[in-house]
Amino acid sequence: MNQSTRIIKTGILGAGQPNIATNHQLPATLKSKLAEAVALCDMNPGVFEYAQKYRLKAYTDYSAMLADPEIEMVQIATPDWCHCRHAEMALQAGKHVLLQKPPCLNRDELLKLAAAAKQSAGSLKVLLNCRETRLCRSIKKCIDNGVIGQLREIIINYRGRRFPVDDPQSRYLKAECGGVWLHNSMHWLDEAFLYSGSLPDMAQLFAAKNDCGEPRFLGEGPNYWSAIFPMKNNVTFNFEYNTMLLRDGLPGGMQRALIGTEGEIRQIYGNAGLMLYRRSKEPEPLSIVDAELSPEEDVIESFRLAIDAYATQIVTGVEQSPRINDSLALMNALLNGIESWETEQCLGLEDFNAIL
Amino acid sequence: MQSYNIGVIGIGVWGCHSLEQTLAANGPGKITSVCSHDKLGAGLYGGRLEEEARKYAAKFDAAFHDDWRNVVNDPGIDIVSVMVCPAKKAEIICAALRAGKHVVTDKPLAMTAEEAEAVCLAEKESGKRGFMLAGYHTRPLVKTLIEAINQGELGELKAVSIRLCFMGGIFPGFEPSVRWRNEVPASEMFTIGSHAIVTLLKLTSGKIRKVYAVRKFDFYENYHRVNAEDWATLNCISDSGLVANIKVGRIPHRVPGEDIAMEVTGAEGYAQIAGDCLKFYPSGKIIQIPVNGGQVLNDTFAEYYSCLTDGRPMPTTFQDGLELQNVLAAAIKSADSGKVETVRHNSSIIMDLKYFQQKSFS
Repeated sequence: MNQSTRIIKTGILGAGQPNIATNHQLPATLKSKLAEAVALCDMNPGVFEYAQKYRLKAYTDYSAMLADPEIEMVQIATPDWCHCRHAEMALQAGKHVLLQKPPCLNRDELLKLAAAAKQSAGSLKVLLNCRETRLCRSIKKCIDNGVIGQLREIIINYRGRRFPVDDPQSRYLKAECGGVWLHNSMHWLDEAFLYSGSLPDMAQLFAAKNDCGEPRFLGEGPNYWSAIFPMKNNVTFNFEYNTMLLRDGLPGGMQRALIGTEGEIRQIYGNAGLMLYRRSKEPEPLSIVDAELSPEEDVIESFRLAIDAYATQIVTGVEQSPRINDSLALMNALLNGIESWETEQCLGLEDFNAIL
Repeated sequence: MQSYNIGVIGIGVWGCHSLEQTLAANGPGKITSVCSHDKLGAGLYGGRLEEEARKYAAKFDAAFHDDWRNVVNDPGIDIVSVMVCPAKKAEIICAALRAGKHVVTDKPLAMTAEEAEAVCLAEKESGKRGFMLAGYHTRPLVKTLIEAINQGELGELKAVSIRLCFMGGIFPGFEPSVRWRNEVPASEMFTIGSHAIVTLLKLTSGKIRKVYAVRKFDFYENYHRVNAEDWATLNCISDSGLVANIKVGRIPHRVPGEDIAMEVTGAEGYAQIAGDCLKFYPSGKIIQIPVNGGQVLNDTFAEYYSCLTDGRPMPTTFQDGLELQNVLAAAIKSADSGKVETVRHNSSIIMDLKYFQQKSFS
């Protein structure tokens, strides 16, 4: 088969119930013209229903799926504490691995993961679809076109409830999982990396906790984080992640401000649009790419673009953005953030390539 | 009604500033004396300073002096407006208080925390009243928010986010100089940052314990040229565990209607100020008040006279100025060191009043 038309056959781990694997990654893979879903795997017998519906192979044994020679790429969408182990197994089996964020939960796992990727015949990529949403693509396009001059400040705020965890024994509620800071923040740090083209130089974090509210929205750690990441190229990333519990949780939404020497791109809470404010000009709405898509279609499309980029990488052998070492460096920065909060220090970030 | 004679020391960056004029316009005050001298300011006027200051004095039919001591020691003066560079403030304010004058100044109170503490002690010893104009807590929306916090509507405060930007360019005629940068350390972190920090301090009863700060020259080439900063980001944590994220800057573009944007999260509620709107959650209460900076200033100075008369605390006291100075000192240290720095509080500051009696600037 011609290399450029080779379709990457993929199996999805964690696809036994309604979750990110079945709601987003599977539909995105089915839409892809560069990747083809051939198998699903989960300990949950629900995997058979999904497999039957889409005429795919079903596995309840992960090792068995990894032994399937038809599968070239494995998508891993298991709970956060399984990511590192499942990725290591797939890499050892020589598969290419598309791993949900966060790739791991601590620095030991991070180093193990990096070593496994280095030794494998396959490759590793962290699935960071947020950068592929139309909003992020629109912002990136505007920055790249120089509309706001040189980017200087990136401000991203999340406000809302954390995802509910009904099982009080779930590890998602334990401090070792790092709360939603580790579960979600990589998306926004990756966004800052995307816009600035630079990795963080330092990490400084303060956090607070509010114990009021339903236990399923609480965890052992903080539920408000305020972080400053000075990036290497004179851009500062300022990030607030506010999942403080009130009686009914906060009104949800994202707020973004990208400030450059010539103006600012702004998303206000709860608004899917962007405004542009420029020096000596009237404010104007910023045009959004793929505006015709519904919000749900936009999410699926963002996954498809991420899956396609990885399929292209596998076929061509040319690493596509985000590069794995950059993603692992971002993960390292998030871990430094936690350490910064615990020690009340600002931590410099080593060159992750050197660590590897 | 008692009337007050106002002595002006320092005519400000642009030849006149609104502080004493607003003071005179909103109560029984009259400007009777004006002093300016090159050594009191940042040298932004060059050779034209005395000429401008004399013109300014003539405008109010006031006497002109080139030595600030003549104003401070004038028995006819009741209130001294001190609008000089931070490096010169403490000596002059202390002298004015000791000479039995009330003192009005703008932020920050002094150059260092030690100087600010000396000013507070001089105020206490003199029995006179000091007022430092700073912060956005006198703006109706912020005032309403503070009242709601004090009434417990949000429960215990957990997180505060403030973005305060002076938008739309640099004041005409102002050119940052090396001397200005040296006399206003960290530039806009020191100036605009003071407003944000005082606003934060008015929201919370706790003390800021640790600070991490990044200061930058982001937008203006003429700031960059003299290593002056036009943007700063601060991350703070208080002794009660409250976390505050502060962004301040002078930026070239405008976001209409927005000079301050705030979010406050408490254990029981959340509030957001965006433009002219204050929203509360979960109550859903929405309050809209258009921003009118001039009116706020007028109301603040009208209140100043009431406070002088009935002894109530000033809208912003010198004690607030000392708290501000403590946070600023840690923020500047942090921006220099790249580390999280501890905010010193008064008990840990050793000061010597004689220091100011011996020190001479002019």
